[in-house]
Amino acid sequence: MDSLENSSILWNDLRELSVRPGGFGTRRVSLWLQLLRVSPSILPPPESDLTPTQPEHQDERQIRLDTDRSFVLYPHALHDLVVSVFRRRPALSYFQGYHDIVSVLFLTLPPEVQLVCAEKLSLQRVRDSMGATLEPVVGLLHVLRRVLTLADPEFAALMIKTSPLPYFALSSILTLFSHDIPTLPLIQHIFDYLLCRPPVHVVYLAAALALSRKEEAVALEQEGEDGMIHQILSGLPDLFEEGDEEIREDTDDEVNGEAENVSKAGSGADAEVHANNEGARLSEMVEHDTGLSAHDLDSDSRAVTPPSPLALHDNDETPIHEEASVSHDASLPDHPDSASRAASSPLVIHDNELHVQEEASGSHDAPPSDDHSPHTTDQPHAAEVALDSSTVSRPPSCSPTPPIPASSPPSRSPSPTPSSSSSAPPRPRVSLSHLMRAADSLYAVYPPTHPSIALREIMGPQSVVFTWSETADDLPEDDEAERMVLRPDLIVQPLPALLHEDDRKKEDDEAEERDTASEDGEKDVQKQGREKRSRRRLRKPLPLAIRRKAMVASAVLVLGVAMAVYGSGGFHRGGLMDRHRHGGGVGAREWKTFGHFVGAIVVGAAERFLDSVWG
Amino acid sequence: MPEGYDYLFKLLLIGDSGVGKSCLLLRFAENSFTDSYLSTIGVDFKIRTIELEGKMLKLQIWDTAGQERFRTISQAYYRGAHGIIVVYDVTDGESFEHVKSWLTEITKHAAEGVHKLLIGNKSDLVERKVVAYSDAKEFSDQNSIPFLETSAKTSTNVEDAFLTLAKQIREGVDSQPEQTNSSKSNTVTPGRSLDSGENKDGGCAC
Repeated sequence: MDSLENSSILWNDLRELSVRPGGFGTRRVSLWLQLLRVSPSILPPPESDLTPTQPEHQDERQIRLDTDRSFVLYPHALHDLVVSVFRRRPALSYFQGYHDIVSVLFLTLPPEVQLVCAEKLSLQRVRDSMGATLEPVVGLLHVLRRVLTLADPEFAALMIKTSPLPYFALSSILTLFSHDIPTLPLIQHIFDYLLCRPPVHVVYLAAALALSRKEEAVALEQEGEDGMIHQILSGLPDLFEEGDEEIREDTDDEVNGEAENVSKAGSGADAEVHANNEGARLSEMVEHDTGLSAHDLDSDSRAVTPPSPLALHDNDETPIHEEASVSHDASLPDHPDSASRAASSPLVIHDNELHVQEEASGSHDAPPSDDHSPHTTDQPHAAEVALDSSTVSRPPSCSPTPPIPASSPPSRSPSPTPSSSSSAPPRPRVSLSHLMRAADSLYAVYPPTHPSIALREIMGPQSVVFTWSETADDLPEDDEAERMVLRPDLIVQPLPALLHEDDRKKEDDEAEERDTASEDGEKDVQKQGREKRSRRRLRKPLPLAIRRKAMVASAVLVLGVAMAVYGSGGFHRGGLMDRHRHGGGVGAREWKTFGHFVGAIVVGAAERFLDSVWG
Repeated sequence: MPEGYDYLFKLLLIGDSGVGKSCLLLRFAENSFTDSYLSTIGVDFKIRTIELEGKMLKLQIWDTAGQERFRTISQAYYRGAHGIIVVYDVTDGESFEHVKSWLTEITKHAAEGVHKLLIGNKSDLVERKVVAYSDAKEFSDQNSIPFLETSAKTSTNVEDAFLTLAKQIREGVDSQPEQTNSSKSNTVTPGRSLDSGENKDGGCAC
């Protein structure tokens, strides 16, 4: 039985399973119980009815407000479930969006385990946000900013210019994506993914998501649409589950946007429809789950469908060549404003993926593992991920299946796609598995212990990012965990200091950003016809960490992959990225690629040497 | 012309949770309404371009979460706003009492001279109304803030409310055309203002 409390969890197996299409599938309930350390044998009696003896919690008014307006079949049952958690754990505070998290448990788990699972999830994973303030989640936004800065300095600079902290990711990180993901099967899959990873991993998934919308954000930035950039980045790409393409082929953004508007903005009757659909999704989920293996077999046999990750290991060679041909064949746009609208946005994701992978192979074991590096053994996947992605992210137009927008599940998301923007590139279509593997790559390359992320500088010792453990015995007792929210000073470091720290670290980046920012700030009211911001930037030396990574590598396993990919991927990136940069960057980029190549040869000993020099 | 506007104004909606900020915005930007609108987490954003006295005004409107604990995040958006709308619910006396503290937030975090507007929403719920028009009017006059009662559900006064604020801002801009060039605090977008705040004021962005 999966759900015995002390049965050992095969973390790596579960992590691999969780990124496959459909995630945990039919094993979801038992695996969630196991991952949340809930043993059916020690369940408290179900408390579906609130007992009048428990004193009211101070946040019950707000809970009522939020559950009453959420699109769930049984708002009262959801309300009672949420309130029960807070009456059992009165030290916790409710935040708006918490009810979205609980609604996922509510719609997934049998009633008798809902409360105890919500309690465990709250105490061991969501606790940081349930204290007096939201400062801890702002701390995670700092982590996200650092991850993005490492993964894509150019994109990060753009984002920092529009907003110094990536506030667009707030609701995703705060609600574990439950506020934003439009359908139950997708959010269940994301919970599969998150529950078998350390709590900080949500930041990496948010980073992968943001990077998937880079092209749109860049285009908007050139038009001076700061608000729209926020909106794009706080929204979602067109997420789909591999194997489900036949029913999610609605790539037409307009149609999609329309559907969302209708579902969001409809009358009370629409809300009813929502409620019914929520109910329907539960049964859909069961169908979906039982059909999982069939789907996989099916998709393997279809010529244009991305290969199932199950076949990943067998296909190690093939995708490399495919990737090479893709990058040569595709007509790459010169400029995101002109030709790129026609260009498939998956190319950009593809590009990001390569970027991630590039670092992955260069720095395979650069970060020293702390008490907190459960993914060490996953790292070889980082390389495979990108290979997989080259086929996964093939433009959807390859598919022969016609669009069926009507079958698109209704959205619960608050306006993920701004309809008023006619100039943005199309919303990219991204498979959830692809996104998850991208997040895994980011985590492998830029783990929380990475010197430029330095999670310990941001989060305090009693944050869930440090108290969570793969070992059940190392988790704090529930009562102890509840008390931890009373010490905000131990959950997150003082944030103003953090801002200064980030500023110092990013001095170079921002110095050049300020040049362009100040030219923006000259007019109170921006008149029509303002000139487009120049995106030209000076090339500057790569940050220390990256330079180091470029020369340090010890992963023999990745060596061959790295060489093969840089043969194609390096060229690909040089073409796309540097044309965006209006010249000037080609040399540096090639140098970097070359550095990786050399780094792949100079192994092991070099790292130790460099560690002693720079460490 | 793709970017057909003469002015770009940045507006911010604040007020207690559940008073209808998002519904007002939805009505104004997309002319639709739902009784069951989702709670806003963090900040949301919509755009509408309107015509006012022969000029095209593009309104970028930022919508904020009402729950107290989100204030630190909303504050990041005050400084770049040209106009701020404080919303209360006419059926919820507490939300009206809190207007004062919202105005204090504006004083603390917004640019000096930012234009304000007070809105009492849900005016269609006549039987449940507990905040009298006269009381709110008196309060708004004392504070020299324009005031309107609206209903996002029936559209009553929603258009007027945003137009009132847009008009104020435009008049303010036209009356001091050159000064603004030197006053950076007025010029910035929410994000950018935060940027400068963080660099110069020692980090109020948290």
